[in-house]
Amino acid sequence: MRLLCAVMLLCFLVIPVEGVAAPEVKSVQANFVQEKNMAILARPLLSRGRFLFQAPASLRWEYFTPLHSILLMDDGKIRKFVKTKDEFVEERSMGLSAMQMVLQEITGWLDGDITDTPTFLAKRVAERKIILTPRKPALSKIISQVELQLLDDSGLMKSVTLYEGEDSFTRMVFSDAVVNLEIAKSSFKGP
Amino acid sequence: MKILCVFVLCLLASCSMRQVQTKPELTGGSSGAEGRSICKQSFVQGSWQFTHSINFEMVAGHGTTFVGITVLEKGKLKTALLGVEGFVLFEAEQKSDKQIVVRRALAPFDKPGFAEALLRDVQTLFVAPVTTAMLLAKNTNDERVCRYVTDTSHTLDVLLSGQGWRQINEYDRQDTITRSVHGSDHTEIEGQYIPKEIELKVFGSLGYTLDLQLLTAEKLP
Repeated sequence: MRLLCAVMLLCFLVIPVEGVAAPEVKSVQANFVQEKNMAILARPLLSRGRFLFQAPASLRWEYFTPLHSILLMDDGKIRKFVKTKDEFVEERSMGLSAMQMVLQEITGWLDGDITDTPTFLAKRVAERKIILTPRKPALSKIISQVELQLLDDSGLMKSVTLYEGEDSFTRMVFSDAVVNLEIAKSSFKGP
Repeated sequence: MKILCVFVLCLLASCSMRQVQTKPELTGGSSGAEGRSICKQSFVQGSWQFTHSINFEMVAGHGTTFVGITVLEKGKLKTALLGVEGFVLFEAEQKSDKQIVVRRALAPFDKPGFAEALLRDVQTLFVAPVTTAMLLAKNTNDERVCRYVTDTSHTLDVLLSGQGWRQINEYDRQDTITRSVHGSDHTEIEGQYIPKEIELKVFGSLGYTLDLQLLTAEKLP
């Protein structure tokens, strides 16, 4: 779950393109389509959802299909809900304190400085592509590489691809991104 | 993480369960070709890819949700457990010769025996038992039952409805129940009836219940 939070927060990065000043980020919201590819799958799994981020560390990460679930972070608290039989049920089995630690670490990336994290090594391989590799072997067993693709000179994220192994990866493609639009606080409180 | 460990331990503990029901007597049994065909058709035919949400609940009330993937393709049975956000926790394949290949198993799903236990559960849900000892009969409620005796001398009773199977009970060599599966709210997809809700119960002091909700069902070419 620590890794999950780290990867999700990658989506809120607004990374300075060389020679272009990054805007101050107060909030980001966008739709996403997540495509899961695995060796055993005859067809990729598609999920659709929307995320809301409000600086410094409030998040609503919501999948609408195929399974409606919501991950919330607000005021240092992290909660997760899964819709079961027409009602949201809060999951009680998460390592919340660990997630909070990662949150504090990753939110520092919002200023564009993603080279100093103790979790990932970052390398800009093209003007709009950044590759992150885990520093620790234990993490490498779970995720081998993360690829960030920037949208344009705005520095907004176009896609995040998470490689879990040789033939397993998850790609999240974002659309309709809006920056610095006010988001109701209730969005981060519950379903 | 604790609940994941409990989940794995419970799956592995299914062989040491307290017994609660015994195998019922059946009447009017037939093991002919017609009965064999009826029983076989109560399970999905051909190649399919299913995704389910799987809610695991212990007696104490703790629970967590996974996404389960099942792929039936050319005699192979492939399965995976994912977190609801898509992280792969476990991935394995059972080839047509029954050999199991584990592609990925994060702790605690890397415990010895877990892959075999999970694939056995998945096989029970989606694959008609392969055995020569099969009987189509009726129980005391006048319901049609396909009774299989497996190569491990376990008995599988598959209760039929007009739309595929609705109940599967497994009994051990002492004729006491070890697991039961209940399927309901069937939906017709590509001419086959798929239960939208499945409840798998393992009996015993470390018993547990898995609730599966059908998310997607795709017929593969």
